[in-house]
Amino acid sequence: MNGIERRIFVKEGALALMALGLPPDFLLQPLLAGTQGLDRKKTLICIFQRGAVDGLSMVVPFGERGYYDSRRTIAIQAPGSGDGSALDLDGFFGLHPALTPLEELYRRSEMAIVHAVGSPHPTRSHFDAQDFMETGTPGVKSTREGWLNRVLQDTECAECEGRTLQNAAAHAADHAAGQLSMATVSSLRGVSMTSALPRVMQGNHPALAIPNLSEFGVHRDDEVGSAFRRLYRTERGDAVSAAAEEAFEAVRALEAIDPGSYEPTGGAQYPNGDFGRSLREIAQLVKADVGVEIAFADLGGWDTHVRQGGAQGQLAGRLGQLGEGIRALYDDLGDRMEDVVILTMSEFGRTVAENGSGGTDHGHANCMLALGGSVKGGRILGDWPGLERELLYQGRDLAVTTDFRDVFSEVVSGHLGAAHLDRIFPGYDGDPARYRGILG
Amino acid sequence: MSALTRATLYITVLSISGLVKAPVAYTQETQATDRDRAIHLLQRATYGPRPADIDAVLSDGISDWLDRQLHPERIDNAALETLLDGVPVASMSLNELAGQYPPNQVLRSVRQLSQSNSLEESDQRRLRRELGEHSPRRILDGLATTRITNAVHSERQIEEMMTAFWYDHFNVFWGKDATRLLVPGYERNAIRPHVFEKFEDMVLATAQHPAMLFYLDNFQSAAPDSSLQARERRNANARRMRRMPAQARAQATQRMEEQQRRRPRPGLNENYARELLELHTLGVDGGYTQADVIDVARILTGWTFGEQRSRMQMRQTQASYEDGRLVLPDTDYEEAYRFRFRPEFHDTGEKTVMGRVFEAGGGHEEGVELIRMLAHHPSTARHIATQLATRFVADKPPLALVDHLAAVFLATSGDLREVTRALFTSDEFYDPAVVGNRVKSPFLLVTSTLRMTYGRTANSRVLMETLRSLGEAPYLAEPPTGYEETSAQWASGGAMLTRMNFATSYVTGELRGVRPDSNRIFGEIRRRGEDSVAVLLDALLPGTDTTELMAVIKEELQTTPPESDRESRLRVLGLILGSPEFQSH
Repeated sequence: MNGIERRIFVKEGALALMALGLPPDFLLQPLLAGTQGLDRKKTLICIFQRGAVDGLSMVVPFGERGYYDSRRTIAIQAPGSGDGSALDLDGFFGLHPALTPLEELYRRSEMAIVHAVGSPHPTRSHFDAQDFMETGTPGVKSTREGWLNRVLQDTECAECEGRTLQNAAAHAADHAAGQLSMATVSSLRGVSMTSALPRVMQGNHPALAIPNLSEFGVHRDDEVGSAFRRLYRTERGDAVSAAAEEAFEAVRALEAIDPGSYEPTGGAQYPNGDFGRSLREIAQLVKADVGVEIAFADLGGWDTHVRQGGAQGQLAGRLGQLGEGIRALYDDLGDRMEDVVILTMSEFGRTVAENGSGGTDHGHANCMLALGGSVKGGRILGDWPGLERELLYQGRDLAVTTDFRDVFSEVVSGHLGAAHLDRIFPGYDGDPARYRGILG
Repeated sequence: MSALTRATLYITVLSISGLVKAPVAYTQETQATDRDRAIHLLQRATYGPRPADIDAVLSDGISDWLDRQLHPERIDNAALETLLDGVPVASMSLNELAGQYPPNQVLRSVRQLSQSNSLEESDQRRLRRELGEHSPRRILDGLATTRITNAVHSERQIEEMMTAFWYDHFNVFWGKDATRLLVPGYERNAIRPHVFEKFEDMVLATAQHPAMLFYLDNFQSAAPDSSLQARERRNANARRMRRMPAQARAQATQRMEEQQRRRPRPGLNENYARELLELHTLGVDGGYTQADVIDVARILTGWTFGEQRSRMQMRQTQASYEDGRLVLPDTDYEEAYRFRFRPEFHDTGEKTVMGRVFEAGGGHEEGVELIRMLAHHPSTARHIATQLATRFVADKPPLALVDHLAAVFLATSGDLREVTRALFTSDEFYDPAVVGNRVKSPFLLVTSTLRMTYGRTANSRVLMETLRSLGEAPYLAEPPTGYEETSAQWASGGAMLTRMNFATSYVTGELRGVRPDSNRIFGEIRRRGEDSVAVLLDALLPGTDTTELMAVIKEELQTTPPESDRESRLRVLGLILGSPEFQSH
């Protein structure tokens, strides 16, 4: 059966149950089942810093003489040098002071850092490099699907589309007993808090772009909603109706959690603005157990060619937003962080040396932050290549010593249970022996 | 029998009975009438079958109507030209565009000035506003407005449809740096003039256009070890080393060799060569190998444009702020981006592509020969035929049609007028099984919404927002593959909601500057004095079975009565435009 037919098949099952006198709300039960073990899913939250963030400012190699030699005005001072010093992490690396909210998470071993990670491809074009990081195929421009979408496909049960392979034991028991598995709302397995679905989430598996959770739904629902729902019925048997029904189910599931009245918990203080709101909405979705397994948010404004600033300034401001946002997300999720991994990424890093305009230009390797209950935090992972001139990539950039696909592979296989990494990263000769040990 | 087992049985029975069917325009029992065929042709080959269009096709006859459309110069388009008077971008020359919308680097210092305190605040604000008017974003606005207005209002409908199709085939993403300035000329000069002419001319025009040379990096592709920069660098190093004492020289040589090892091989860029074979001509199964890709890249080394130095200089010239006025620099972008064949970048060795040997010592002409060879290759004919059949007939195109179109392609040496004609007159095109079974692509949905309701298109930004969220904004397809020819992928959950919401927002006037011409649509109803729902359905969904739609609409009006006649009409209009019937064509 092809994708469209399977989706109709599953819907027919739901309708048949209705015909047998079971109320539609029956379907919502698994969605609203709360945090019982069987229905709790693992979630991966990816945050893309678009524009090539300066990783050397995020996680400062204050132990490197070359860092200070190359950055006369924008370097972050070593710990203990007064206001605006880096926060000591391990005696060699320090955290940018604007990322203070994350320092405690590092100390608690909830956050790990991978440094000198990036792409094997030399491009310094934002457009190409984001493309490569989102499709997971550096150097290949014709890949249509994003790697996160392929993860959704990989972790989906082939026989009852829309159902995740997570909670495999319960799922297998359903099949073994010959019982039809209820589909979760498959388009809620992957959500992106953006106005359009980004490349990384595009592909054959349905995924939803939710620019604003409290506005997601049928416009003027009370005037036209019921008419549209009657028009797009599965009995029509066409692709648009099947897709629309999925959307209506997602709307129903989301309305049931009443986004407008959400109150963060755990003392979470999200920063103002769209980014903070996106993270708050992700937290809400995860805690509501609507079946979100992959969530995506992005933040721009990292392309600091001019007047980047050091401990204060343009970059510091942005890092503050990032740090506050991730900390709030962490606090809000509370003990749900056991089942969540948050991962940051950016298409490449920036030059070691500052340029003539108080900024930095496009570079190569960067750093990634990984947070979560299963993360072996409190460490800086990877293979630090050093900043001596002759060790730099093309004489100017931090060299890449970890392929970003290794980080992604470790996280999706260890945390989400993805099995076929060769399909998720086609053309990549992945090897778990290269994993940096992000997960415990 | 347990409830769940019964359910399983019920479901099995349902699924065996075969559920998937198209929302047919006419059932298998009825014969396709001339009117049905006319409507189907308009649904697929134009941006919407308005009543006047249907009449025109019926009165001319399909064959004559088609022939006229295939000779667009014979069709008067004055009304469209008037509409585009205020939107010059699509017809501006490269220098005009660069003068009006210079690259960001040129504006950098003035932008800093507009944010610094050395100016009065009112001056700062004025300067910032002025800078906004010169933002490259305006180029995209102009392009989008033109593309949308053309689709909605042009009388040369098939030319518009095919210009969009071939642009997508030879896709260039607008957002990559210099392409922002180069895309208008690319569509105007490399694509549009060739849509009904010889395919090989379009391939050659795109291969030599700076937009494509830049987008797929061929402009910097050079023969390995014989690139100008590498040679100059080697010469400079050799000169320096000759002056060193022996020991220092040995160390320097060693260091240089280590660096060479780590540095990526300079020179050859395969990007364009690969897409030329895979996407533009032969197709992914066209029978070429990686070795062929490399040799194509080698043949095309030296296909570039102006001096890099002069382009960098241009970017470094700065705009200035004098006497309260923004002063933009004059530069000759035409020269800097004019196609040039640079022999010093060219690989003059022997190459073999698809078994054909290109002897050593060749220059620009071997690339032209290569392109002609590829453009006439049977794999290319098949590839183009498959794409056209997929895009205009069915996601799984009938093999007979693909064979036929490929044969016409080869027999006419790639005459796209004849291939297009063959497509829209083939039996397979009019097969009842494929009528009405395609999901409208987002661009077609938006433009047909406007076209069928005589909509105003003043604000392309709000439309581009919708198109972006639906995944088909013109000029913004990032990969060289462009947007997909198939239709099934457009029906995704989030997209369906967006489509319904677009219809609702459109009719209620919530999209600024974009609304239906209600007087025109409803005036017709008032004149005819009949059941307004039936009249609207007939106008917007000609030839479609709308009994169900009518019933649902009428029932809705009863259960949730609108507060006024006007609200009632708008709600009906919105429901029709958001209906599954209107999503298909």
